[in-house]
Amino acid sequence: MPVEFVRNYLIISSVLFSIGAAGFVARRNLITMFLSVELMLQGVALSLVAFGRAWGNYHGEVFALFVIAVAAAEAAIALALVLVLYRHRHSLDVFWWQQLREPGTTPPVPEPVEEAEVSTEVHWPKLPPAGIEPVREKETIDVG
Amino acid sequence: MVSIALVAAACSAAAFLLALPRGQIGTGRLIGYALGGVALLLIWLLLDAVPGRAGLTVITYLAGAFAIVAAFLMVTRRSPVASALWFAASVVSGAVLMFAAGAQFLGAATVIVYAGAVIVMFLFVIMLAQQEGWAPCDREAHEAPLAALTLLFLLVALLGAAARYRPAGPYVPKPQQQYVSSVAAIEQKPHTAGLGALLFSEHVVTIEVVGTLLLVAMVGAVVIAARRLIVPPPEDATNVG
Amino acid sequence: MSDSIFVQYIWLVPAVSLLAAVITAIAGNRWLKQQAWLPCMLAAAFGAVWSALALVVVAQADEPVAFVPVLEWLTVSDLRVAYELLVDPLSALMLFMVTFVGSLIVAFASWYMAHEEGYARFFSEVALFLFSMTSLVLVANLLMLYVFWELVGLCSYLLIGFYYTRPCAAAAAKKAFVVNRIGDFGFALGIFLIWVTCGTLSYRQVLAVDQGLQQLTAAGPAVLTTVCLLLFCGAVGKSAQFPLHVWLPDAMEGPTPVSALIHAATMVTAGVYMVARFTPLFAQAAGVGTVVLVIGCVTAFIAAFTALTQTDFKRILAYSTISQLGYMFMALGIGTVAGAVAAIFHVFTHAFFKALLFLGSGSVMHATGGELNVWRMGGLRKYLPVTHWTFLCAALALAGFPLLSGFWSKDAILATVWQASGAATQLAGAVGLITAALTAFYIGRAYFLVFWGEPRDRAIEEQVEHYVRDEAHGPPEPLIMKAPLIVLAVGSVLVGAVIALAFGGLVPFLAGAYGVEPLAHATAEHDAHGHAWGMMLLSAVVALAGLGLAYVFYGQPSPWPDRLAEQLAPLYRISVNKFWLDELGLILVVRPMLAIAAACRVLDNVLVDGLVHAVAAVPAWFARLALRPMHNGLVPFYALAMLLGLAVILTLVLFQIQGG
Repeated sequence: MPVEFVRNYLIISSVLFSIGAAGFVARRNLITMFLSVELMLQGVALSLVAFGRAWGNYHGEVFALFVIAVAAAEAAIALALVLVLYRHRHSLDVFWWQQLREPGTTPPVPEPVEEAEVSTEVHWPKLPPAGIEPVREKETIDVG
Repeated sequence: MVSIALVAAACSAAAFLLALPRGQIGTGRLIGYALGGVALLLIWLLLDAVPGRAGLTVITYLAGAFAIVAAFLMVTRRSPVASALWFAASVVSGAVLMFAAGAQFLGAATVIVYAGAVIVMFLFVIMLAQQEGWAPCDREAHEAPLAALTLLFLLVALLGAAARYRPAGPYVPKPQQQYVSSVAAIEQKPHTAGLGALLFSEHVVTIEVVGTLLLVAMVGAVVIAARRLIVPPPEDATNVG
Repeated sequence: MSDSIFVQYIWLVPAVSLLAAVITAIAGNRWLKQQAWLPCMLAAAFGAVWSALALVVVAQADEPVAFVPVLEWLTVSDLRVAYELLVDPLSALMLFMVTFVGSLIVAFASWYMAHEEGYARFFSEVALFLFSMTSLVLVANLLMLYVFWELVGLCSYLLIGFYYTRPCAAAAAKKAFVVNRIGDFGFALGIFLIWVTCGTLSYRQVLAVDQGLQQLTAAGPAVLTTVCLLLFCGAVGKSAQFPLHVWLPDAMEGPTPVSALIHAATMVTAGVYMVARFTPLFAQAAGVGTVVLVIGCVTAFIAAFTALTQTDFKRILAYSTISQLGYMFMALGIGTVAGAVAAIFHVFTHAFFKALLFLGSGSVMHATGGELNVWRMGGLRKYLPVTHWTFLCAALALAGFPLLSGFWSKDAILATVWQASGAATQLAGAVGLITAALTAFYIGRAYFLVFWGEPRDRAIEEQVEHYVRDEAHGPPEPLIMKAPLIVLAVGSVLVGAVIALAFGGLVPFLAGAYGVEPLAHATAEHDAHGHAWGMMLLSAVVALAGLGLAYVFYGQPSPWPDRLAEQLAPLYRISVNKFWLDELGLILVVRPMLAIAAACRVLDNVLVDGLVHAVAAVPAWFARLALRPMHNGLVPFYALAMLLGLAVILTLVLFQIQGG
């Protein structure tokens, strides 16, 4: 396989990878961020295919196949998580999730204002009589 | 070559910076797209014609360019739906590149898994999380200059390395690398059959592990995403406290 | 002799005790519970039987010295320290005494300590003590001697502080430990000096006249004297001699069996044993004998004088122990084999009657519900007959009543001191006689106050009556507690006479001890004229006078004690206040130490800690200023930091490789 062929593939895959990485950093929408990650994986898979061809065997493709499989698994989990996160805040903005920061520091970017109506009523837990399963609070945000 | 790569990297980064959503739509975005075009041309310059394989050359140029353009639009468009669609386009052109390289099975798998399953899943989630209008998070980028800087450095490193890479001749496998067979052999055999033989002989355990992983991921996704059942409260438990 | 199984496997005695300690420590609380005393008891009894057989073997042997190598402990260049045991008449006798008295006391303690919190802990520590003590008398190496010396100190500390929730017990344990440190410091220095001079620490060389002794005398005029003084320093701490005796009365905070075992019969005699063991050195060291003699003399007198007016039952016995130890050092101070033998003889008999006295006091304490003030007791003989009779035997033995064991051994000491030439020894003999009278008086006082007359305190009387009648806790004097008392009483009465009359004293036997043989020949004719009948008569008269006076004063209600206290007010105050030695120590040692410690604390807090804090503040300051804001909880920011850093590094690396 000619050298030029491999280099072409490497250039294309490295551009795809870089764009994906930059997109992951720059975008705030959780879904777009995950799309960017998938793009990075896609670039890597492409370069693996090219390497496999260059060596004249199937191992690069096997590797790429596993990358795709893992990416599919990751996408399934990640989308489930995104869905759960969305239910909590009714938004896909990643700025909602900055509770990992050092205690006492001011938020680097202000948390977005919740657009949906938020109930100000406080639901205090009530003690049920012994032997009866406690009542779970109904989820306030109803989605779908 | 290297200078072309550097300029291409700079143009790409600038285009990325300008095309990112920054509140309201302005002329900056158009300039960004224009710069992106320039960068694409420069990347084209970096690509080489494959001697004796005109068809392959053309496909590489076109599909590669389309993959890059689609990826660029994917990260710069505001609407998540548009992003998902551009991602699908990028993946499909990537699959074309794989076909062109002779990796038919992988190309097909990419299309099926990504452009099919994953994108459908994405669109499904987007539909679930439908919002009125464009959310603030889609209109504003985060740390756009630093992100552009990241892109710049990544492209400088990767494109620069690729552009400077000039091996003396075709790849000559070293004798101790036992898995290497000849390119001719790999092109003569039915491709997917060879891949399958390798997968189910040498990598059979890995295949099993990956299959289990997918199963676990599926179960996990169901558990994570499933709505909790709401138990109706018993009648006599309401006024105790 | 060394092919005898009892000598060859003599290490089983300490080993079994150690095993018992470990078993009790691990299994005691959870599984053994009220049977936790059994491992310790079995180990002690085994040790007693085994060491008795070993003693017989040693006594019948022509060459009664055997070194038993057990295991190498450590080897550093030319320092070889082995757990090697020396079996000779001296160590065999001491071993038998420790295990025999120990097993009796353990049996008593199984009754005495029942239903106490930490029953298993008690017996685990006692077994550990037995291991350490038996090893201490057996080892044939100065470093190992020091190790076990410290181990018995540790056990003593643990057992004094057995009731660690009581502040006074904790303080007493600490005091014992710290005061012992002073003595042990000197002891360690002495060992260092021997190591530097002789290059070995094994008894084989150090005690041999033609090796260690020669090197020590050749090293310089003062070296041998210094070594002996430093070693004696350790003995002063461990055996509670003036001025380091202050810890022993406070050590009575421990359980009574501990007082009997450790602080009367065995551990405190370790100093006597050590000095006796090093008789070859002490006999040659100029001037040391006088120091030992004076210290012993002063201790004997001060302690006996203090014991006259104490009201705490166990403290009277504690001062009595100190006083008797003083006697032993008086004998050692003579510096001859005869003196050392007399001291060991007294150690042996003293172990019987003093252990018995303490066990009797333990029985009394149980009956009175822990009361210790002798003035609140009285008339106990009708409630506790066995305790009364056995205590009487022991008291008479201690007082030196004719033909009881204390009489023979004390007489041996006084005779040896008297016969030695020199004004100091004559004076010491006189003081010894006076002390013998005081001894008879104070033990008679304690005996009459506790067991005779009528109960002086209504509450105590009710308590005793309740104790005797109430069968819920078992009979007041069960067999397991009676048997040790009776055996010890028989020992207190007969041991001295048997040794002195049947065997003709210990001199022929102990002269076979390792290293003393050359000395024994030199002084053989010195001791040829046997018992000093005059001294015997004199001491018997003195003892009887003391006992008679005690009966007159305390046998029935009498105005004499109070009247005498008024008439001799200064002397009375000295005795009651224990010569103000505790206060003196407080002012001269403790207060300055505390002041220095406070100064050090300030220095430490301000200077050292200040520096450390300053050094530590720099990274904290940097982190707060530079690193903390970076941890902002924003996932894209983290990703940005990672990717940007990766990209920059990648750029640098790739271009450097390609360019180079």
